[in-house]
Order: sequence, then structure tokens, then C-alpha cells
Amino acid sequence: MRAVKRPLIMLFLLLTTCMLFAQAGTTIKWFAFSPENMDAYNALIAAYHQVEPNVKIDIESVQADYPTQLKLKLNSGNAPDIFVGTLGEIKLFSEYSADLTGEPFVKNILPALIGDVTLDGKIVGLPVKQDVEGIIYNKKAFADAGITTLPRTFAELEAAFKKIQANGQTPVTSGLKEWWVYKHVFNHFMGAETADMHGLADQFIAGTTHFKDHPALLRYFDMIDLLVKYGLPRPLEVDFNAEMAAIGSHKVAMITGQGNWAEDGIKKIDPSIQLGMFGLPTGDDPSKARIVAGPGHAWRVYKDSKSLAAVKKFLNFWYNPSTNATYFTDGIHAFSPLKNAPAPKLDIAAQALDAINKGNVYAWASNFSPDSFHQRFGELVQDYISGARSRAQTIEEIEKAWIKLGPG
Amino acid sequence: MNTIGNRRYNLLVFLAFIIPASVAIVYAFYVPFIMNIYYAFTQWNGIQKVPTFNGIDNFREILREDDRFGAAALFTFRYGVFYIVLVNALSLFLAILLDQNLKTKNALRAAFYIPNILSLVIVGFIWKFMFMFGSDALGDLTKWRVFQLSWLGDRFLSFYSVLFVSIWQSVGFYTVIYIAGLQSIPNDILEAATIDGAGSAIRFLRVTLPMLMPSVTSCFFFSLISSVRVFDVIVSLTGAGPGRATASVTFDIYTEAFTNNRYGYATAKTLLLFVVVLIISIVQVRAFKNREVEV
Repeated sequence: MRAVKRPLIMLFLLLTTCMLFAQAGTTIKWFAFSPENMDAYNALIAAYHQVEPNVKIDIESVQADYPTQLKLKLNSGNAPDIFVGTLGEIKLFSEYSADLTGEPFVKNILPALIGDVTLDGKIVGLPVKQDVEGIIYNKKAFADAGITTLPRTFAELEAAFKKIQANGQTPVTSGLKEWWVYKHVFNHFMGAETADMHGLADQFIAGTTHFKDHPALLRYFDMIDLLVKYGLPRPLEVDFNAEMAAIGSHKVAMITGQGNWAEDGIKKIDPSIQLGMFGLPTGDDPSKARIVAGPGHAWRVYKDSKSLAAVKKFLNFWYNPSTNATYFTDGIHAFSPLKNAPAPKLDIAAQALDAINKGNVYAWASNFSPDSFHQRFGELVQDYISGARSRAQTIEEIEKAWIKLGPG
Repeated sequence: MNTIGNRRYNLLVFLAFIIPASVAIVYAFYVPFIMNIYYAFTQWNGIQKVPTFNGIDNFREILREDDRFGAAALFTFRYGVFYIVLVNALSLFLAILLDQNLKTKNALRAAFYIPNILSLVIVGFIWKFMFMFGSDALGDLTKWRVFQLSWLGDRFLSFYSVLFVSIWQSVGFYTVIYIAGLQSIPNDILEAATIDGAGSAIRFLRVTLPMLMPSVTSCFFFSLISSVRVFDVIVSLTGAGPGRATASVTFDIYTEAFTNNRYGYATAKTLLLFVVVLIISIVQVRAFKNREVEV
């Protein structure tokens, strides 16, 4: 018996270790943003678990300070397998992004969006979704105030503001506490100025052009003055949540700088509200009042990930309309980056999709400069609103910041 | 027993207790500090795998071109002066009040100390709500001008909002230290002063305050360090807004490193900050130590 005991124990230990290793499976670390979409992310993970039960997906989602935490993770050896960055940061993360060219899911993505995620001929990201942005308005408030056509010029917009004021409501609010509202509104003026927004941004970054050479851009400040004049009191205290609350509780009839991502929050406050969207007027030309549409962020895959094959398999499931039909439209309430996708179930979808299909939209110019510049831009315009600097001084500071922070 | 063996044994025991803690401190504090000095002379965006060396360019830029850092330094200086004076005066006043034999003494002491237990981030959020929605509601109710002011959105007022919230949160801490200091003053000295004909004001200035100097030194030192390190309350209350009106030096360094992706440059700023704080602390502690009176 003794002679058998020792080899039996060895065999038992060997078998257990083998079983442990076999069951270990792979883990995918997913570092996401937009925690408001956590339900959609979890539903996707649960659906994938049905297909691949051995793969564990560890998701972590933050909004505030995402860039800081991502840098910490990348530098401390805890690089997440999937992370997100803005489209403009494609070069910044080039040392960390895996090459996804030739993967099956690539052909599902709208061809127009592939260029934004390609660097030196290699596809290094996946567009997260498509967002639209413009003026979101309360349809009933417009009807009550007697506004029958949507404003497309500054004059028409001011007239609409006056009608709403006459009806006893504050016309608009813009969330001017948030730095990113300023780049969203500015986007429209970049588009009104030129069709080559990327080129224009590059010129500002290189310091070869000035605001005064582009009259359409100067009207941005007229718009800011208009928004402050007809907005809620204490404009610099209104943040994103206060903005959604203001329109949801019928304090204001319109909000600016927001898009499809805001509708869910507004509906939580008043589920019966009817919302619509139209393009922000940029001056006296009605054809230049367009909605902004397109992708803003890309998911990137960590190049040296230990679970690279598992991650690619997951992406093939995720970016595949046949296996993952409702994630983009119903899950995260956005416009899908995939071909032939239905519109999301949002009030504003109808008008936005109409504009997209007619090609009557501007791309996201803010993709062409890094967020570090945009944050500084927001701060400078806030100083302009509070009267700390004149328009000319603000423009000079913006041009300086674009040169300093533009390269990223 | 051999005395040499005894000494070696004692040394070994001593080292055995000290080494684990020392290793942890060196690893977590001194090594990063040395690395900090290295990074201050590089240009690095926090993401590239290898930083590029650029000599003293960072320091040159800070001293010559960075007006935002200058504005943040000015804000921190103003905030520091107001905070140190106000928090110490207020907590000393409260300590004297709470040292008397009031019936509700313990409840009051607890009430003043509780804000200090709350995390500054939570305190910031609570007061943000109060300043925005609370003052809206009170303004509608009372129509008083003070509630209609933009406490967080006006460049001039937001400074006082930040100051108010951080004093509110920390006054309990200093009060406790001063109460302990007051209680350690022997009663016979105060009685002797009263017998000699000293009124309460003179008693306070000539007897109590000098004997309280050790507590004053500690509190001044603590408040100096906390005012230079102010960060949490700014992020949660105003986000350094409006514009950049309430950006402190620490906030400026943080955004420079993590938002502007200029890690090396931000590290150079932290080195500068370290040197300045070191000098101020040494001067302050020396000046106060000279005034301490011992019985």
C-alpha cells in the first residue's frame, strides 16, 4: 500500500494543477467611460458569456478623470486590454494600440468612419458610437410660444428667444460651467467657416492663421453673448446636470451644446417631454445652421495584451449586427457606427437622421485638437463671460493656447 | 554577559524593528522623490514609453512664461494668508468659549468637530448644492440680495466660498488642539495674575497666549501646510472655476500633468513648490519656537 501511496498523491496533485490551469480561462480588462451606460455594458458582457463562458470580462467605468486614471494604469503595468481615447489622440496612444486591420468586424463599420481610426495604414481603433449635437428644444414650449419654423439665422434665433420670454419662460441655458460645451458650440462655427476643418485646425496649431482672417469664427462670441443674455441667471454655475434638469423641469425651452447623450437624463425628469433637435445658427446664412454628427471616441486595444486573441474574438461579437443587434441604438442611446443600422429610440433621432441622410451635417471638428487645448479654450471663454478679459484679449489667448497645447 | 555581544544583539533587535518600516518609507517616499527630480528635467507626456531630456527648459518656462502658474501661486498665497489667520483666530475663540463650564460643552465640542470627519470631497459637494440650489430656494423665499449673488460663478466671490467651506470643515481640528493647550495651563499662574490685579484681557495676552505658544506653533504649521495643499475642496466645489479663478498651485500642477499631458513640466513645478514650502516652514517654525515659554 505504501508503495502506491506516494505516486498516487503525486498524480492527484498533478491532476488538480492541470484542472486549475484548464479552468483558469482568460480575463479581459475593460476600462470604459460613460458610467451611465453601465447597464448596456453589462448586458453585452452577459450576452457574450453565453457564447464564451470561459472568458471573464472585468469592466471598470469612470467618467471624471478618465485620462488621469488611464495614464496611471498604462504606466504602472496594469494596462487595460480595452480602453478609450478621443479620435484626435490617435498618435498619442500609438505605442499602446494594437493593429486591428483585417479583422472580420472591420467590414461592418461604416466606411466613412474608418479613416478617423487609421494611422499609417493600420486600423488602431474602433469608433465608439456616433453622436449628434445641436440645439435640443421642447416641442410643446415652441408650439405654446407660437414658433412655427425652426430658426436658422441669428435674427430668427433671437426672435424665437423673445417669443419664449414673452410666454413667461427662460429661453435657453447652455451648461456654461462645463469646459466641453464651449468646444461643441464652436464646432458649428468651424464648419460654417470652411469645409476643411482639419486643415483649419492644423493652421491654428501651427500658428499660421488668426481669428481675424476668419469672420465666421468671430461670430462665435456673438452667439456666446446671445446665450448669456437669454439664459438662466448665474450662467457660469450651470453644469451638465443642472442643464438637463432645467429643460426637464420646463424652466427653459432650449439647451445648447448637448446631443443624444443628454436625452436619457432629461426623460428621467419628465418622461412625457417631447424633444427635438435643430442645427445651431452660425450667422445670417440659413444653410450654415447644421447639426454636428459623427464619432468622437475610439475604443483601442492594448498592443501587448496577454489576452489579445480573446479580445479580438470579443470585438468580433460586439461589432457585429447579427450577434449584437440592439447595443448601440437601445443600449447606449446613440447612433451606431455600423452599416445599415436602425436609428436609436430617441426623440431627436428623427430630425438628426434626416439631416445625416441629406448630408446636411458638420463633422466633429473638436477631434482635430487635443482635449487639453479644449479645456483651456473653455476656461478662456468663461473668463470672457465673467468680464475678466475683452473679446480681443480672449482671442489672443486662444490663439496662443492653440499653438502651445495643439500638438498635444 | 559579554558587553560587546549584548550591544550587537541590541543593534540587531533595533534593526529588525526599524528595517521593515524604513524599507517601506524609502520605497514609497524617497525613491519617488528622487525619480521626481529626474522627471523635472525631461519632457514627457505621461504616455510615451521613454521621456526626452530637456535640461532646465521646464524651469525657464515656469519662471518666464507661465502666467497661469503665477495666477495660481497668487491665489494660493492670498488663500493661505486668509486661511491661516482666520482659522486660527476662529478656533482659538471657539476653544476659549468651549473651555468654560457650559452645560452643553461636550455636545458643542462634538458639533464643531464633526465636519472634520467628513471627507473634503463630500463637504465640497454638499456646499456646492447649498450654494447653487439652496441659495436659489432661499433667494426665492426671502428675496435677500445675499442669496441671489453668484457664490460659485463670480470670480470675486468664489474665493470666499472656497475659503468659507474649508474653514468650516477644519476649524474643529484646531479647536481641539487649542482646548488641549488651554487645559495644560496651570491654574495657579492664572490665579496669581488675577491676585496681582490683571484684568481678563491682560491675563489672556500676557499669561495664556505665551503659554499656548506650542499649540499655536503646531496649529500655524498645520494650517500653513494645509493651505498650500488645498485641492479637494477646489475640485469638488468650483472645479477651479469660473474660468480659472480658484485654481490653486496644486490644481495647476495636476491639470498640467494629467490634462495637458505635460508630465515633466508639471514635475518641475512640484519641485519649485517643494523648495518654497520648505523655506517658509523652516522660517515659520524657527520664528515661533523662539517665542515659546516653558514653566
